[in-house]
Amino acid sequence: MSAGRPTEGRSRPRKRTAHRERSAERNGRRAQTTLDFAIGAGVFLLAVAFAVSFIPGMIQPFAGDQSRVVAADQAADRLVGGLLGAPDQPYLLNETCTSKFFTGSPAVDCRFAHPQNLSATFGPDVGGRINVTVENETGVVDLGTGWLTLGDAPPSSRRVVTAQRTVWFGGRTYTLYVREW
Amino acid sequence: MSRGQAHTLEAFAAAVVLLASLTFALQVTAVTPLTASTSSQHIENQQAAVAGSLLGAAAANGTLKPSVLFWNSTGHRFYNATRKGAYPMGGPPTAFGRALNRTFVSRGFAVDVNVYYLDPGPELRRHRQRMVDFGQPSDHGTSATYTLTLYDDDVLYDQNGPTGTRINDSAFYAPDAFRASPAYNVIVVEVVVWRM
Repeated sequence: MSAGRPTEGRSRPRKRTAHRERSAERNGRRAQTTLDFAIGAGVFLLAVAFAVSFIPGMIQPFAGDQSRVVAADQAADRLVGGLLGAPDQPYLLNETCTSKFFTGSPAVDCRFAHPQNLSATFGPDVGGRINVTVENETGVVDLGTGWLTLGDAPPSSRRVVTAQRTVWFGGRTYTLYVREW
Repeated sequence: MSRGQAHTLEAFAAAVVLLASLTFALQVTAVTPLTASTSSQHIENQQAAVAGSLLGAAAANGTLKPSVLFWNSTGHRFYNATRKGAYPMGGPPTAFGRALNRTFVSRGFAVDVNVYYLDPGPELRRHRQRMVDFGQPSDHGTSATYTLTLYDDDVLYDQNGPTGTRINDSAFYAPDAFRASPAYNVIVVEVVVWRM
């Protein structure tokens, strides 16, 4: 009990009323009850969680796959602009050379030195994460010597950049897709 | 005494700090042209590249010029074209038109093919003849062009191949802009592509 009381021997009921008085006094002077505190803390935590969840959006433009966009575009231009056909007739592919690039046969002289080898054609750091495919409306094209596709299948868990060009061989148009991840 | 908050001003300051942090978080997210969306710059570049490669392949293959010359001079329109002389909702019934349908129309893209020719007047103005008309392009449309030269001894084409009618003496949409030379006119074929 407080030391300021000089008199002793107050009756117990007096102490209880004093206690009740003091807690009543405390409740009367209280600006914020427990419920107020709970609501305020909840709102604050929601705001902090919301602000923190925007951090990936802040970093996203600098995330670093912008070089892949340019690289896929240039790979597609290289393929249709001279590697699989003739440089003076871009987008018109030589059917036998295209077949040789993707399936290895027939054995003719073409402008590329490494058939079926993406690492040697595009560089060793790109070769493992690039896929080149020639497709028509129904899917990958098969000219009779094998599927016209090279490279691993694109993963579904990473960002994949696609570049496409229209090519003409065998009397009709196809679409060449270069996918890089 | 042990009060947590002494004055109401503290509450206002705390509320201002909270709102400022929320506003900062909303403003700091950056959307760039390369942000992944249905109309990022990369997608539009690829659309333009596919249109350009289609035109280049058709020209190198010799199928673009017959489509430009697929003109019905008696009806003053392209053959079987119904909408202002142009083909609605599809390409012309030529090899180039079939390639156009296969590359774009069947994949959900709308295509406008415009053929620009020169005016023989002194200012060399350009006029437009529509070949394929899907309507007004959207804001995210891209285009690719190819330039051809027509000569005085080129002939019109119809469903059976080249006819015997020279463009020089027929009601072709382009006039002879270079009367003193064997060249007839300079044609620019423009393909505008947008997603439907």
